Amino acid sequence: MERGTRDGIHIRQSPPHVLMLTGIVVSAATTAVALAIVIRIYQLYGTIEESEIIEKGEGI
Amino acid sequence: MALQVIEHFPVFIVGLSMFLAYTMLLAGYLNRRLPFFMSLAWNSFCLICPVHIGARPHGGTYSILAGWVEAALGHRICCRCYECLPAGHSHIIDHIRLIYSRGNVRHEIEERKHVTFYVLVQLMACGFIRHNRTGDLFNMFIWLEIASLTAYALIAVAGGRALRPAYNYVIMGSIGALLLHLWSMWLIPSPELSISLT
Repeated sequence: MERGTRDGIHIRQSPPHVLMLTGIVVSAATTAVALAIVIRIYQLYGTIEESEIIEKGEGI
Repeated sequence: MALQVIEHFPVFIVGLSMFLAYTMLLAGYLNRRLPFFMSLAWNSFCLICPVHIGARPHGGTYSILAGWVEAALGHRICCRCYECLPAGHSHIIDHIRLIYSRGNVRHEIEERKHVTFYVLVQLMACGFIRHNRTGDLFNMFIWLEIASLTAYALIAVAGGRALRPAYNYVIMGSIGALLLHLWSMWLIPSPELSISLT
């Protein structure tokens, strides 16, 4: 997937499967961060229901 | 075209600042003051690089994973003359932020969290600064994600009431990043369009 040259260097477009693989890795990392936050929320509030968290949140 | 060592500076800045962030974590176990001074030293080096690159007679640099792998598998970074000015500004702001935040960090953050704070801030600054130097839309997405994930973690480090906003930011940030990702994926198969930003 060559798209010409610039300053004498060939510029290539990354193939879609490379981008998809990177996208999967990034989404896994995002999920891990989200789950870590959810676990901390559960440890703090004892629930992951938003309405209960809002009720309990006023006291924290 | 053979690339000179000097032309790999943008790649060095990116690769080494990521490496430094993890080294700071290890150094923090030895001495809690070390991450601050490591970050300060690295930012001073980064501050010199854009000035040095900008002063080059040919205008700019164009590095492809230090010349080892072609752009198809490598990380493409461009740092031309006119891009050195915003890059330099980012580093100056980062430098000022680092120096003046030290007093606040001492007073507002628990001592046991100082190492985590400096490591996350270093990673976030790395993500944001590299974000404006990438050569294509997809790498922009990756750096944006690196900066975002560390920003979420930085909010969550405070604990307590900060956890719920941190989770909200994760959800909203992921939706935004997904749109950027879909956009870049949509441009790739097109013969006329390109994800290249150069």
